[in-house]
This record gives sequence, structure tokens and C-alpha cells, in this order.
Amino acid sequence: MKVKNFVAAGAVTIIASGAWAECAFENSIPLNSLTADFDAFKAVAASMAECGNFEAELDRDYRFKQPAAFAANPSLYHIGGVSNSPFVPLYDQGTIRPLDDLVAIYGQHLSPNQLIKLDGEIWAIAMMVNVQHLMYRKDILDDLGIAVPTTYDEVLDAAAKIQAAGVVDYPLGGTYMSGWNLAQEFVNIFVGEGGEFFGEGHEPSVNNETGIATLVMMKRLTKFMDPEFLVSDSTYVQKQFQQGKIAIANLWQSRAAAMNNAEDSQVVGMVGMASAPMGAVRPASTIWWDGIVIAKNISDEEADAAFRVALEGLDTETVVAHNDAAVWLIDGFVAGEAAAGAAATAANGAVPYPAGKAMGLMHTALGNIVSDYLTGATSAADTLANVEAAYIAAADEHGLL
Amino acid sequence: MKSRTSAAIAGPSIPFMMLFIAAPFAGVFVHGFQFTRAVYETIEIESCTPGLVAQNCVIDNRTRPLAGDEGILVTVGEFVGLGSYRNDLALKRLAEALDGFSRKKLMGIDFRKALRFSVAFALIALSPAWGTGLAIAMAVISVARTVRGQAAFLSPLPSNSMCSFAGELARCRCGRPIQLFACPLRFAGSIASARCGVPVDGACNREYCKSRGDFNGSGRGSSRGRIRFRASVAARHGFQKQIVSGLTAGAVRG
Repeated sequence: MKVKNFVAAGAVTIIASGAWAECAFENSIPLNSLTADFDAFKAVAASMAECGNFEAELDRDYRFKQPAAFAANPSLYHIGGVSNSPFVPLYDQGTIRPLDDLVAIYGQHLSPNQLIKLDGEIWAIAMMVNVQHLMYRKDILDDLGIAVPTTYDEVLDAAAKIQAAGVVDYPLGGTYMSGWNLAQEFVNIFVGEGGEFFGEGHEPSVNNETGIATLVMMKRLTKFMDPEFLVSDSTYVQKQFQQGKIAIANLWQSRAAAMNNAEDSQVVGMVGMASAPMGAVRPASTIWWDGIVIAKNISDEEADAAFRVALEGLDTETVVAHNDAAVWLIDGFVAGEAAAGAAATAANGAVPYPAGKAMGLMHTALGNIVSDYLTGATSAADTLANVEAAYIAAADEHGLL
Repeated sequence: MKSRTSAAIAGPSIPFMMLFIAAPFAGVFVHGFQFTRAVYETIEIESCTPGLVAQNCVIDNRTRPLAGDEGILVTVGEFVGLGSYRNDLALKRLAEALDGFSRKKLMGIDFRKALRFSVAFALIALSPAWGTGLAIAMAVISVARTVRGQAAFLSPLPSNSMCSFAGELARCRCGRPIQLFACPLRFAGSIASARCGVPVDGACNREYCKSRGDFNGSGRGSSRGRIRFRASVAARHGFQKQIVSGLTAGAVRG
């Protein structure tokens, strides 16, 4: 199989050409895709490439590029990899197509759980769910006699003990990178404490006790992190784990398999998976789904071929070969140890991420402003007032209020 | 240099300066008094998303923008006078911050950050650029008459690169090189709109600049970024098409 990988500026391109034995059909129409860059999408893209004439772009900034790229006519990509929130602008702008006809012809085997339906029509095919949950170094917790933390207060206690023992560089890791990641951490803890982001209409409601408690907890956690936490994204935390630099983090399930990847990881078999820490109401985490959409601005023939190629990527063969890369929604998935944390988080009552237009603006406001509090530039109440002001300005600009 | 000669040198660039600099600037100025917003509808809709065990279907009210053909959102424009400027200056919050002088509250106002950036930009990028320009001009005047013409032609080069370099410094490595003419314009623009290039907590944050400038779908200054990105992808696509059709035509002829 001739699959070339190009790595440039955080993006990976997989290009395939030639004849393919492992795909159910031979694709003759040139197709491409733009998706996220984590392991599950790498597996899916490589599987799609088996059908030939397919180019996959895996880019961590996919969510910013997709809306404009799919709005072009013809669309710059045939297949898009999306999750809850990046799905919203594509659906709202009508740049993806309903998939009912294609599902009727080629997708009879799909489980109902995979069909993302809005208003009775199928708009995306989900392949996996993803949640942030606790990952911890089993060996370190055992050595120090620390029980697996179930709340963030217990995480802080454990962090203090680990720091005192001096067994790792930093007791905690966290996806606190300024922007999307940081906002997501706020969302996790805020939702866990039972917070609601909006009141009447789309009026913001984060500047309250729950919001302040969330910020205070975030700041307490950062004291145990690498001081460069404002540039720490999922890949950064994953590497910190793999290199044995941290002991505990609330990290995406999609990163769990990487802990046991002997090529990159020095902590194979040492990382345990548990539920996200419980807040007052539910776990400090939200449930996400990842899946694929098909562009609207392409010909029906292209859409037909794109859907078939996409399903080839989302088949049992891919899942069996990469069982631990995700919590797959596809037949053939066996929930192993890597999925234990996600299952525990869901069992504890985690809710789906409240994706929507207003939430997108709130997420952006949080991502831009929460760091002011963590660096000490503003007080918690002022930070939240600034978040609300920024949200109101944006929501007003978008005509939401 | 005779005034007629210098007019002949500068002359051809004037219409282009009007077209590419003055006209867009005037356009931005006029648009500053207008406000364009999306049109939303709230509909009751059933949405089904996967859970770990079973599908989650909920019926709720969902607000979504009205989209026309080809995914372009329906928008309405209205004249708001100085409304946008009032918004950017955040006069109410400014008054609150000054009442009892809370430095931390003052820090939270975006315009203050933009102003700080603009002042820093003026000091770091513009002063040396103008100083260098003046020094070069003096140097050109003082060189021998026989080579003065050539020297005058070459003189914009160091001044330009100085401006780019200093501009890059000021913009925390995040932007594209700044052209000589764009320097004062960008400075004026950032004061006018308080919308560009505010570094997050003073840090050099590439991601931040990227999200503000290039293709973020939300937040301030985003529509411009989106338009720019859309234009660039469209251009790229058109360009690819041209290459392909050119190659095909060549192949057919060959």
C-alpha cells in the first residue's frame, strides 16, 4: 500500500493512489477530507485511503477551516470530520447534505446510535464518543498510598502529596491552552457544579457563585501544573504523560491508547483510567461525539463515492485494528481498559456538550478572557464580568440578543 | 531633482495608492457607521446525538441563523451612527472603572489593550521607520550628484525592510510583513476600530493571532478574517482550476 505521510505545520496529509485490495470497492473519483488529527481519525483516514483516489488532511485547526472551505462552491473538501460543536456552523450554513438517501442504500448496517438526526433528517454519521476523564499514574498513586481521586478537592490533596514526594516534574497536567482548550476546562467544571450558561433568552449567566468557584478551582489546580499551562493542549498533556512528567490529568479518552504506545510512551501499562472528578451535580466533563459529514456543494456522484469511502473508514475492520484508539460506536468494538474512564464518567451522569450558536460565542469569550484570572491580571468577578461583556458584544453583533 | 521629474516618478503610483489604500480606507470609515447582523430563527427541533449506551433524543428550542443559497447567511445592515465606536470604547465600563479608579477593571477593557498595542507599535515600529527614512533621505541628498538618481531609486529598500522588521517585532511575530505605506494606515486602523492585534495577556501568542486574524468563525474582527480566508481559498481554487485547464489545453495542443 502506497500511503505517503506529509507532516507540515501541525497538519498531516495522507495521499493514496493505485489499486486497493482491502477496500470493498475501487474508487475512481478523486476525493478528499478535512478532519481532526488524533489517532482515531488517523486510523479512519488510512482505512478510507485503501479505496484509492483519496487525499486526507488531518489538521488540529480543522474547526476553523471547515466553515469557509465547505461554503466554497464547489466545496474544497468532500468529507468532513466533525464533533458536536464544529458540526453546528456547517449545519447552520447549510453546507453539508442530508444523508438519508445514502444511508438507505449503503448504510443499512449502521447502528441507530450513529445517526446524528436533526428535524428527522440524518446529517452526520458518528463513529465514536469522546469525553475528558481522569488519567493517573497507577504506580505513583500505589507507592504513595493515595486512593484514586473522585473530586477535584481529592485531586488537589493527591497533587500536594505527589509534589512532596517529588516523583514527577509536575503532579498535574491540564489542557489549559489559552483559547478553545481553556474554555473547555471552564465548561467542564462549571457544568459539573450544575452551572447553566444562559438565563432568559440568550442572556449570559456565568458571573455568579458557580462561575467564581469554577475559576478558583482552576487556579488552584494550575499551581500544580507546568507553569507554561497556557500553551498546554491535549497533545502537550499526552506527551507530558508519555514522558513521565506528570501523574494526573483530566484528558480526552481519545488520548488513552497513546499511553500504551510503546514507540512514544515510557509509561506503558502504568496509566489508569477513571471517571472525571465529580462536581456538586455531575462529573466535570461533557460528552462529545466525532463523526463525518458530506459536503453539499459537490456533485451527487462525488457524494455517493465520498459516502462509500467514508463508510469504508468507519467499518468493523478499522475498529478491530484500532480497538483502543476510541470509544467506537461501530460494530466490533470491545470496551477495554482504555474505555473504562469514559464509561465511568458516563455512568456518573456526564451530559452532552451544550453545542449551539450562543454556546460557541460563550466558548470563544471564555477562551480569550479566563487566562486573565489565571495570570492574576484580574479578579474572578471582574474576569467573569469581562466574559459576559465580551459575550454580549459578540451575541449582539450576531443578532442573538 | 526637478519637480517635474519627481512628479513623473511618483505620478504612476498615485492612482494605485488611491485604489488600493485610500479607497478601502474610506470604505472602512463609511462601514464604521453601519452594522450588519445575522438573522436568526428559533425553532422547535428534535435532535438525536449518540450517548455511550444509547442515543439521546431531545426536543428543544434551537436558535439558528437563516442561511440563503450556498450557505451564505442572511444578514441585515443598519445605520448605527457612532454606536460601534461607543461599543468599542466601552464608555459605560470605562466610567465604572474610573469611578474609584480600579486598575484591574480598566485592564479588562479591550480598547485599552488595543490602545496600548497601538502606542507600542507607534513607538517601536513607526518612529525608527520614519527616523531611518529621514536619515536615508539626508544621505541621498548628500551623495555625489552623479549617483544621486540611482541612490534615490534604491533608498526605499532599507526603509521598507526596517518598517517590516520593526513591525514584526511590535506584532509579536504574528503577522505578515508590513509594507511601508501600510504602516501608518494599520496604526490608524487599529486606533479607529480597536479590533486588530491585541496580544493576549501581553504574551506572544501565535494561536491567538491566528484565531483573530485568519479564520476564526467567531468573536471580534472575525468576519473580516473569514472573508479574507474565503477569498484566499477561492483564489487558491480558481488558481488550481486555471493551472489544470492550462495543462489540459497544453496537453491537447501537444
